[in-house]
Amino acid sequence: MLQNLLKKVLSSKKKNNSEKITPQSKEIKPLSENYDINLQTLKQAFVLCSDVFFREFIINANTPIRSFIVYVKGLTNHDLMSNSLLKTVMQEVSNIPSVMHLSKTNAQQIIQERLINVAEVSTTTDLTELIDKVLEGNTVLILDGSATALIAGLQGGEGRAIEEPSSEPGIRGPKDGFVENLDINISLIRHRIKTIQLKTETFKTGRLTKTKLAVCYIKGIANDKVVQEVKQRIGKIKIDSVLSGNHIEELIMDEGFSLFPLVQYTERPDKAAASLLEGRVVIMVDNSPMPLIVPVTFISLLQAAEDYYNNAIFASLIRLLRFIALNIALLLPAVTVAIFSFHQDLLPTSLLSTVAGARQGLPLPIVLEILMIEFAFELLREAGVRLPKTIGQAISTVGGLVIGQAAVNAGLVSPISVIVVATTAIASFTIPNYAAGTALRILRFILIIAAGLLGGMGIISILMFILFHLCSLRSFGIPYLSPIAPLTPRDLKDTMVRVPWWAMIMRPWMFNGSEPVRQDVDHGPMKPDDSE
Amino acid sequence: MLLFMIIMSTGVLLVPGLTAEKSHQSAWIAIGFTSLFGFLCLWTVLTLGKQFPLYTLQEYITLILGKPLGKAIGGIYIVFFLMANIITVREFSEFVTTTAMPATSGLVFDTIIVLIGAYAASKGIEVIARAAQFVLPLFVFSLLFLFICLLPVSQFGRLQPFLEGGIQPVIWGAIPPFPVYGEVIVLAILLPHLNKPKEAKRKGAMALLSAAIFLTTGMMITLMIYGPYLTGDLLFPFWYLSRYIEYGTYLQRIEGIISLLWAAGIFIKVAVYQYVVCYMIAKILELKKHKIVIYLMALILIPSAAFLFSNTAELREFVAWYWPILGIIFQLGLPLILLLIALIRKNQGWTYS
Repeated sequence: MLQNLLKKVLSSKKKNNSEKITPQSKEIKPLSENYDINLQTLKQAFVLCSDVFFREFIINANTPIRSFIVYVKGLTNHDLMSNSLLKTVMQEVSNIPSVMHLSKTNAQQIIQERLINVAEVSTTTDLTELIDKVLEGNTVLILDGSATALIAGLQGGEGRAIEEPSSEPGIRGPKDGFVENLDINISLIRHRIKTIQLKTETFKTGRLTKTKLAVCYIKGIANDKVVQEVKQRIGKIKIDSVLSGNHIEELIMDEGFSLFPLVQYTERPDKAAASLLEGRVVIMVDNSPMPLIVPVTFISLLQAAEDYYNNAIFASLIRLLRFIALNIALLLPAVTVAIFSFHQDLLPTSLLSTVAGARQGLPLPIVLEILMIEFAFELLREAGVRLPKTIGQAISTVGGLVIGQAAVNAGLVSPISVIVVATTAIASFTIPNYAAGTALRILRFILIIAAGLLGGMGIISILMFILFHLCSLRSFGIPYLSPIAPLTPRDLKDTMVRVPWWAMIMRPWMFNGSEPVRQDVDHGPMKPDDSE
Repeated sequence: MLLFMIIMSTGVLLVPGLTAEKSHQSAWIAIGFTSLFGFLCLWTVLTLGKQFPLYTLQEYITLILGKPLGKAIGGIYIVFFLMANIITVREFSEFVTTTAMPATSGLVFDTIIVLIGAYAASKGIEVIARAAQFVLPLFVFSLLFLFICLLPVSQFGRLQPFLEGGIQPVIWGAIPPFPVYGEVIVLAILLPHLNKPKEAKRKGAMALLSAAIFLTTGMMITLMIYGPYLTGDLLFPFWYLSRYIEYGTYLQRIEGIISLLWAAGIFIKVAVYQYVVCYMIAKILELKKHKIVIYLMALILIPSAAFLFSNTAELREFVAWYWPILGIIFQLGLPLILLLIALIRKNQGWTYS
């Protein structure tokens, strides 16, 4: 209902603005053969853009040819530009045998074919395309007497070096992480998957930002329907700016409002590659170090890349631990509230007396108390994220030690509630996916309030609501709770447990590609030959 | 699976006590005996389904009986399902208020369960079925746990003398569980929605059989622990069973957890019923969307669940006597008649367009 309302509001806005939003006219403005006209139009187009530079020069042919290049300063590799482009056309022009009669008419062709030693060269006659190319960091060469511009791919400029992924650290896995540059990110994947089946299709979205997107998938392994769906949804995006993967995420999600992430992020190339090999689709967004992975299932949010680098038994136990932590993070405070305020009879007598003693003389009912500490904890957390690292240390000291300790000593809160909230906090840090963690945080508060109002029944009601909601979610057509509901026993080997690689013969069925078999035979443990 | 959930979720609540009240130590025979009735219902529904594949109960009633009569009967069916839903909701709130939250008004729980049921129903039957998949293992586990924990303390002698009062008390005792098993009738509406309708027969029979086994075992154990007379007086005998568990200082007082699991089961059942009723209303009024109906119906459900029965005793009375009669008519009688007519007409070479 809320969605319908929102749609109505949006559509009414659209009507008012529809004239303003209409995209720029797609008509082709051809370049002129006249050097001055070209120069003037381009200077006009780039007026007040101080980062766009024009460099005029003369090519030394029998009849000198006037020409200029145009580029954006910070986006270009200057060394390459001087050495491969300017140097060649200005100096090495003399190496051209005179039989070729370099002149205005053939200059463009000769330069493109024989002079410029840049790998990526293309041409255009369209002014709008030319402007786009310049803004993407290409260097454009325009010659007098030619209506065709040469575009040299000399992109460069500053970018972050490949670093260890900060949000998903690991101990045994590879240590490289995605960066902001799309090409480098794609190359990180290509390093890992060297097959022509790995397709990386690029799209451009954002009317103003013109952000590049790359849809990566392994043809044959990924489900064609999902790939089509992804491409279709990306094609439908009409927005003026795409600054991060989150813009894309919110635009292509199946459900408008949901606490649970329907798109997964990762900063780790190995995880992205593993997802591709499972038959999923990775959407890379330029300027975002976190590609999106779709479709996503709830279970995949609980899997960490590290699971695949550790001993299978250990990894399975860790997953079990993480699952317990999930339940603690979600339920522990609410259950505490429910037991203390409604179902004291559920506690064994010995524990009851301890608890009752500790709670004597406290001013607040347990619900408010736990809500208060949870709130304080959320404050600390937010403060810790926003502050610079150096001050962050101070926050944890002040928050954790001083306030926590002092509140207990002052008799404001009971130590038990502090323990409960602290345990919850620690448990919630084990969830590998940050977005899933935030969902848990919100639900935790709802559950605490429900438990405060109606005890255990409040909890179970909210839980059933969440369950129904989770069951109804789909991510690109894949039920969110698969492989558990609908149950696909075959896929359970990589959910709560992680079986050894030799047993992972089939890819997850839920992503349903056409090449389900991962490896031909059942490896089993390898032993030396018995023949000796 | 869904079917098992539907039968069991309320099957574990009021009914055992009622049966025990009537047939004392033979109650377990009675409750097992009634499952035959369930199988008969299942057979009828499935055979009807086979005659009219792709049609729901609502639609083939109209096909068999003609439009005016068909719509009328369909309307009565809607009232029947609505009634079933009201009883389920009320049983839930009674269960909660008696066992866990004596100070809170049942109306609160009625409202909650109906609203959440409405949410689930608006998401469709597939979602409900998937949610049931999650709750079912917990549910089964809770029952198994209960039985296993209690086996050492149960006294077999309490089941004797075998068939003390002859067959008569057994039959009387078999009446209250009638509608519980008869709930397979929802299959008549859900059948066309199943993705593997061919397996419906096997799965349905499995669900019925396991429900029967669980209920009968539960009944036996209750009798072996509380004895025939006390069981009859207990409102929710199975639940009192869970209070009986006590191993050491830690494994005790688990009835809270168990009642929460059972509550989860009832949530599923209410969701299914709401879906069924709304689906039928939408069909009979030939509405395209049944979502609006769901929320309207929630408005009817909440007050009627809260105020139709003034207290637990009245509810118990109703479930013991009037409800089984309605159950026999709607769950078995009418479908059988429909099947009969359909088969006769088929023999006469009728085709339904």
